[in-house]
Amino acid sequence: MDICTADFTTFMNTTIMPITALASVITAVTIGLGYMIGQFLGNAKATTWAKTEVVQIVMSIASVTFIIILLNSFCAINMEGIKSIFNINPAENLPCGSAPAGSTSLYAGALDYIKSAACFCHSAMSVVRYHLEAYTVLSNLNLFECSLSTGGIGWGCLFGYSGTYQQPLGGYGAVMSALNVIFNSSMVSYISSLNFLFILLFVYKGFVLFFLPLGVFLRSMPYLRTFGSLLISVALAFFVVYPLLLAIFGLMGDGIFAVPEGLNVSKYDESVFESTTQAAGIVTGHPEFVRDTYFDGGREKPIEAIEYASAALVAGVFLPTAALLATIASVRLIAKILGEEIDLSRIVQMV
Amino acid sequence: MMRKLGFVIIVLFVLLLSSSIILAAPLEEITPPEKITPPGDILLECPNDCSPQSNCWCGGVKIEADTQKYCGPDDVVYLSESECEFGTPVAPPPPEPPPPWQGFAVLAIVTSGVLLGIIYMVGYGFGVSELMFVAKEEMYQIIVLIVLVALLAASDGVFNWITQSAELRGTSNTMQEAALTSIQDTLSNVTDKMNNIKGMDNGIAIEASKGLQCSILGVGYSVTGCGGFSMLSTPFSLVGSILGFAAGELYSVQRLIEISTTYSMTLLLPLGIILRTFKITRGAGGLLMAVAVSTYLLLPMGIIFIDKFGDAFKSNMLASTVSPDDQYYFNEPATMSFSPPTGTEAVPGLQEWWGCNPGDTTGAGLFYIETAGRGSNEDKAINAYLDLRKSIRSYLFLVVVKATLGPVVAILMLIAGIRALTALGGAEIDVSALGRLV
Repeated sequence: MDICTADFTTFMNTTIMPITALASVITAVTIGLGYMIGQFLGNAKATTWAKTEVVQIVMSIASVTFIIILLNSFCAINMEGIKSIFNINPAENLPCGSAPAGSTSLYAGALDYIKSAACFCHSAMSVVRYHLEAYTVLSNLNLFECSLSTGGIGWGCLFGYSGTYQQPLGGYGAVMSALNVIFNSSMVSYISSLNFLFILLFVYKGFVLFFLPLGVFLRSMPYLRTFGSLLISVALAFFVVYPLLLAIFGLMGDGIFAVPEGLNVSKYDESVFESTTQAAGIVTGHPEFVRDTYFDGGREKPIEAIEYASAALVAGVFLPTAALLATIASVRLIAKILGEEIDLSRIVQMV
Repeated sequence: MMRKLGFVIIVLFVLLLSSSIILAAPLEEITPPEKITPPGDILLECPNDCSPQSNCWCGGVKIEADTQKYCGPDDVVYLSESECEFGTPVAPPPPEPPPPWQGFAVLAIVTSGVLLGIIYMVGYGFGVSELMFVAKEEMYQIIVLIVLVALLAASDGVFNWITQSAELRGTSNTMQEAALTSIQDTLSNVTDKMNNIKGMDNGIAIEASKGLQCSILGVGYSVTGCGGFSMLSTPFSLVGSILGFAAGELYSVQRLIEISTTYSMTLLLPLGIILRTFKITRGAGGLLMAVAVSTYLLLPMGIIFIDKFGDAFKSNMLASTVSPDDQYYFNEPATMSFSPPTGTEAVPGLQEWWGCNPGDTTGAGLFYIETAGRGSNEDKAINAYLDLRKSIRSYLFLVVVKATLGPVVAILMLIAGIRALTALGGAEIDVSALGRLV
C-alpha cells in the first residue's frame, strides 16, 4: 500500500477516517457527560472545561480535515509542472538514472529524491572502496628476486633461498588514509540517506495517520493536551513539511547528483579478478599487471573519488538533515498553533 | 450584504489585475538577426571577430567567441555551405536569458497576497472574523518579506560590486564566481600536494620494503637494511588523512556554492516565500529562504574573507625581515626521487646507485638518494626525514589556512546564518546538526 494509490485511499476511507470520527464522537460524548455532570453538581469548573473542549475538538477535527485535504493536494501536484514553471531541466546522466516516468506527484518526487540520494551515496562509496581495495592489493604485493641472476635464472635459489625482496609497487599509506577518511564520510552519507528513506517510507505507509484519532481524543482529555497536540503535529509535519522539502530538493537533482567530471562510475565494478586465468597473470606477468588490472583505462582517480564522496555528503546528509530539522521545528510550531508549546530541543540533538 | 459582495468583487478584481500585470510583464526579448544567405560557399571577408557582445548566428546556433568565426557587418555569421546549412533560412531561437530572481520573488509575493486576499474575502463574505484576522496577521508577514527581499536585492548588488572590484577579486563577475575560483585554486594546490605526497610515500615505501635473504640448506639469515625508511610511513599517512579531509571539505563547499548559484534565487527563495506565508509551512519556508540566502551570500563570503585574509597574511609575512625562516612557509615543499635522472638510464651501474641497499648495514654505502644525500642507509633515511620535517612548514599555509580554516569558517557562517535567518523568518530551526559537514 503506497501513498497516492487506490489502496491508500481505501485505507484512509475505511480505517483512518472512521476511527477519527469514532474518536471525535467519543470525545464529544465525554465532553457532553462532563458538561452534564457539571450542571448536575453545579460545578462551574467542569462546565467551563466542557465548553473549552468543544472549541478544541473543533480545532482537532479541522486539523485532521486539513491534513486529508493537503494529502490529496500533494498527490495531485505535478512535479514536472513545477519544474517547467521554474525552467528546470530534467536531470540527466545521474548514476542511478532520473526519476521514473509517471512518478510526478509531490510524494513521489520526495521518494525519488531520497532514493536517488541513497543510490548516489552508495555509488560514491563503491568508487572509494574500489580505490581502497586496489591500493591495498598493490601495496601488499611482494616480489622476491633470487640473487646471482643469469638470463632470468637466479642461481641463488638453486640450493637455498637467497635474494632480495621488496614491495615492487610500493605503499599507498598517504592516499589510503585520505580515502579512509572519505570512505567513512561516504558510509555516513549512505547510512544517513537510508535512515531518511526509512522515515519517509514509514510516513508513506500510513502508520503516522493513526496518530490523528489518538490526538483528537487525547487533546481534549485533562492533562493530555500537550501529548495530543504533539501527535497531531507530528502527523501534520511529517505528512506535509518533510516530503515537501525533499521534493523541492529533488527539483535540484541535476545539480545535486552530478558525478565529478572524468569519473566513469560504471567502470568501477566489484569484481576485478573474475577468473583464475586473470589471477595467474600475477604470476606469469609483471607486477604492473596487477596495477593495470585495477587501473587501466584511466581508472585511477582518487581525487575524483574524494570529490564524489563529498558531493554525496551534501546529497545524503546535509540537505535531508535540513529537511528533518525543519520538520521537527514545524512540529513545535504546529503544536503551538494547537495550543501547547513543546520543547523538542532534545530530539533535535538526536538528529 | 450587497456592500460586502461589492467589496469582495472589487478586491478580487484588483488582485487579479495586479497578478495579471505581473504575469504579463514582458521579459527582455533578444531578437536574433535574420539569416542572410551568402553567395555560394565562399567564406566572406568580414571586419569583426565574434565576441560575446555581438550576435553571431549560424543555422540557429549561436557562435561563441572562441570559435574564431568571422561576422559580417550586420553581425551575422557567414560560413561555407559545408559548415552551415544555408539551404533553408532558419531563424535562430532567441537565447534564454537567466530569469531574474527578483521577478520570481515578486511573483511569489503576489501569489501569496492573492491567496491571503481570497482567505480574507471568504472571511468577510461569510462573516468569519477569525479568517479575516488570520489573513490580516499573515499580511504583515508579507510586508516583512517584501522588506527582506528588498534588502536582499540591495545586499546582493553591494556584494557583487565589492567582489567585482579589482582589489578583491580581479575579473570575477560575481561573488559566487569569485569564491568558486578561490576554491578551485586551493583545490588545485591541495591535489598537487596530495599527488606529490602520494609519489614520495610510494617511493619511500618501496625503499622501506627492501630486504635481503640468504639461506642454504635451511640455514641462513635475512637483513632489512632499509628499515629506517619505514618510520616515514606513519607521518605520510597522517598527512594524507589531513589532506583528504581538506579536499573533501573544499569539494563539499564547492558543490554547495554551485547548487546555490543555480537554484537559490530561482527556486529556493521564491518557494520559501510562498511557503513561509502560511503558518503550517512557515518552518519549511523559513528554512528554504535561509538556506537560499546563506548559501548564496554567506558561504561564498566566508571563502572570500579567508582568502583575502590569507593573502594579506602571506604578503605581510613575506615582507617581514624579522625571520628569514618565515619564508619557508611559502616555499615549495621538498621532493624526492628514487630513480636516476632522465637520460642516464644507459650509464652502466648508475641505476643501482639510486635507492637503498638492502644488504648494507655498515654505514658506508655508496648509494644516493636525491635530497637525502650520500651515506649509509640510516643516514639517508634520517636525511629524508629531516628534509620532510622542514617541508611541513611549506604545507601549513595551504592546508591549515586555505583548505581547512576557509571552508570551516564558511560552513560555520552558513549554519549561523541559517539559524539567524530562520529565526527572522518566524520559526527558528536549530541547525547545529548540519555542522557535521565540518
